[in-house]
Amino acid sequence: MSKISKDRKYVKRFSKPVIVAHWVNALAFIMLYISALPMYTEFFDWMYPLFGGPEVLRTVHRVFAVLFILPIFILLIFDPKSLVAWFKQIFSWKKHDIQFFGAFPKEVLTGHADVPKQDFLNAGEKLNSLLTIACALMLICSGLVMWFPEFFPRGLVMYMYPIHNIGLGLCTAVIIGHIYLSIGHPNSRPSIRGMIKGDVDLEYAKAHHGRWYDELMEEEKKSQKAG
Amino acid sequence: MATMTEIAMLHDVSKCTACRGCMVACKQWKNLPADMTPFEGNYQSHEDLSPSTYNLIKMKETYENGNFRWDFLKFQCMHCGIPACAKACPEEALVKQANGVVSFIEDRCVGCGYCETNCTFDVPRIDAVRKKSTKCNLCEDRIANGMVPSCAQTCTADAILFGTREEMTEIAKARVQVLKEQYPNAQLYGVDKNDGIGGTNMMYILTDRPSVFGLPENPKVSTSLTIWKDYAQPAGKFLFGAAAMVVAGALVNNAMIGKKNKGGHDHEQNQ
Repeated sequence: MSKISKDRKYVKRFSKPVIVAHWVNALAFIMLYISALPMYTEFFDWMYPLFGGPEVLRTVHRVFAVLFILPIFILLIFDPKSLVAWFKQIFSWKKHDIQFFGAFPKEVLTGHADVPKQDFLNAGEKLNSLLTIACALMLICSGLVMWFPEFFPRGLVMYMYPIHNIGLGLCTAVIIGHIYLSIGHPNSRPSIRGMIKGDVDLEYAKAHHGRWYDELMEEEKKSQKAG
Repeated sequence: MATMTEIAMLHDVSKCTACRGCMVACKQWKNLPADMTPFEGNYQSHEDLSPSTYNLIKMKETYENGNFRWDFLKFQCMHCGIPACAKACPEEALVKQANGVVSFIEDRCVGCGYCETNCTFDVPRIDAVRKKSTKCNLCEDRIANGMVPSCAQTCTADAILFGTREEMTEIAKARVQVLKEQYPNAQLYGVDKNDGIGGTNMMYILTDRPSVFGLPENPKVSTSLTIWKDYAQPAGKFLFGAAAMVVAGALVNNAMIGKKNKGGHDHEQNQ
């Protein structure tokens, strides 16, 4: 089946399980973030009553922690192919990926820059994926040790608090960039459709993911010949 | 007010007979139940502190150079000058008071256990049923009413003394000079405010090195806690402000792009 729609306007980008996994993760992150604030600093203590007190908030935080870990299993069960493809993408770093970062600031600030043709994920998206995974690993591993300290040596548990804290800081910085570039910046805004409906404008794909677009065209040719 | 002068408790291990009257007095004043423990073949009554035992006489048996000896230590909250528990507590349930007491405000406690993990001396114990931390508060209610803590009140050997930190320091310094004749390693513990935890308000006159009594030789606030509370957390707060500025900057940038750029995405090279 062709990935390109009949009217040649849209091209399939993300599968249903990927979209579900993304939004479950996003919802869990936001709720974890909000429920973390009053634990993080007394400045947000006024939020405790909203959750029904400090004890309930800690339970809420754990419920969403489970939800935060769930997406990886959604992908493993329902769409392992996309998961593998994602990992292959984010660990593939070539010349055009490195060059991307040279042109990126100009692209963001002016909306016009000479960017070399990019893969299915551009270098920025690859970096975002890697950083998100790194932060998530930091938060999940340290969080589990903090949740079940009785199973771990005390010296290890002690270091999990600062790691959880640093993970939160890094994650926040990454997420702000991610949200801005998906719905905030005028040039990359069309990309959000990929994470909602699952397809993106073919013209957008051509302009932002040249290498992926070329691959798509190759596939089209082949399937037409075969057909 | 009397409570504003800094107070201290002093345990003179050389005078302690390990009668454990202080343990009973503590339970009585705190209205705590007895911990029933099996006989382990030694004189140690309880192995460790527990959510219902805030004060424990440790009886260390040592056989050295053909001589047997006991080393007794009154083990409880040390009321540190820089209390790691209070630093780690996310709910301000542990508070260092001006009189030196590290008090515990149970209503604020959520039983997270951060105090237990981070304490320099491994003192607080979480009551798993009530989901609350527990530890000695130096009978601050008694102190506030001009009384001495119940353990010091009951001690028959004058091994537990209580008073202003100044008085206790003087007594300790005089006593350690006397002890040095018999115990060359005799020394004070917690008196020096320049140690890693800013001194303690539970001080000791020891007949030997601290490690002999199970106390850390160089007590300090753990490195992990310092990284967490002195670096990671302030940096995170700074990031929070920086992030807000970035978002504001991004919105301004958007407005500027919007003006000079109507559509068109010729920003990837067409090779």
